[in-house]
Amino acid sequence: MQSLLASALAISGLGQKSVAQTLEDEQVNYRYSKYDEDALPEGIVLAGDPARYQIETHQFRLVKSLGEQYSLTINAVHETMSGSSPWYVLPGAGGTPVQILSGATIEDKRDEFRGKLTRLLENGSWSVELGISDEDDYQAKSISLGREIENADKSRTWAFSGSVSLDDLSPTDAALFGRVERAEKNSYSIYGGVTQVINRDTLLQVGLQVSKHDGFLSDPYKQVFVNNLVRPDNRPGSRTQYAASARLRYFVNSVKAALHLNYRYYLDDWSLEAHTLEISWNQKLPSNWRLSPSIRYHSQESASFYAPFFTDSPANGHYSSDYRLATYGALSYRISVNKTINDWDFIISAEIYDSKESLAISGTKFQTPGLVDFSRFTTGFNYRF
Amino acid sequence: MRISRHILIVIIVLASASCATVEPWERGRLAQPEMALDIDPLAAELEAHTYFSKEGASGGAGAAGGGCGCN
Repeated sequence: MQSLLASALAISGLGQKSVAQTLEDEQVNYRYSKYDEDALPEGIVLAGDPARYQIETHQFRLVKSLGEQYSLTINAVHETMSGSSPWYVLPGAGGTPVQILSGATIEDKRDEFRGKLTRLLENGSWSVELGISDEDDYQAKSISLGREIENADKSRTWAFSGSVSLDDLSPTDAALFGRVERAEKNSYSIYGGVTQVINRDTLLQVGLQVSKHDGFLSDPYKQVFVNNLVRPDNRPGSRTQYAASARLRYFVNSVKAALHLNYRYYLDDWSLEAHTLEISWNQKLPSNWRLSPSIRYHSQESASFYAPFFTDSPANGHYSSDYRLATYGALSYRISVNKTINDWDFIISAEIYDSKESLAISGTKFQTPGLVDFSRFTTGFNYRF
Repeated sequence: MRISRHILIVIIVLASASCATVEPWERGRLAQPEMALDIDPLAAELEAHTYFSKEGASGGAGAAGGGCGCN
């Protein structure tokens, strides 16, 4: 996609440096985000702190050209998390599920660092990225490789990538709560996609990602009510995921705005199936302002071993009451405002996320008391040099 | 799997579909910043990370990359 942009810039005379036309602009990006989960209603909480989770995130990104054919991209993230989290679900009065949460005792931080080298070729590019993510109880090391191939007139770009992540878990208070003390999880992922110029106003990208995970895939901090006993969350030791996506970009020249449509179909061998649709309108305004409202709809069908609680022990021994594996739907409303002043962009954005069992395409299957609603605020800048 | 074979066929058909020839000098609208697949890469990363942590589905736009203890 960088070369498509380059050819358009060069011919239209909007390009500046010939080197920068084929490499991403050298720049520094910074964002600060505040994430707050809504408190659960009192009627569905039996114990624990209903206030849930708050996260503050600092994102930093640097893009630097190394000569005429290489580009280095550095990403760094620092997050601090605190609050309470869903622990397990019990049958309440009349069999209605009620949520047990932890106390507001979670205090954690995560640091992530990634370095990516991109090399331009005559017909595209290749890239390699190394990454590390470090938390008090979780460390992940990853490597990703990518290759883009363009056709002769740069109207079509094929993209292929693969990644491996080797993760180590060391849950906190393991002995106190009978959690696993050390565990490993390995993840392998490949992606293939193509971006096509449809006409002078339209781009379409389609792609398929396949991922395989092996090792300890349960949540060490969650438990499940099974046959009158509270037991540790117990998921299969492997998971294969498929995600097919289509992304359309359409420029409405009469009002100088771009319509974005994104659709993803997801399926895995835990029987979880999902549809996700996003629509955004990106409107140029006078004096280098841009306004981008968007809406996102997500609907998923539960994993085969999910239930709020179990009256009998499942035959295959797998069970989870993690709301993230339940049947539900979610609507997300987002707005972003961008102001450009010379080489600077200033950004403010916000999101409200609302999930309900009844928003699922298939309708309500179980009552899931732990479903999350949240709000997010983000501000930051870009500086091109 | 039958599902993945159907998806692959759709991708190949869409990719092979005949499209209007757009000369390089006609691609000015495609080069607008608003037409990027991700206008804001950091926002796209944060959103993907948030939904990965809070939902059961993930992925679709590239290889998965590194993990975290968020999910």
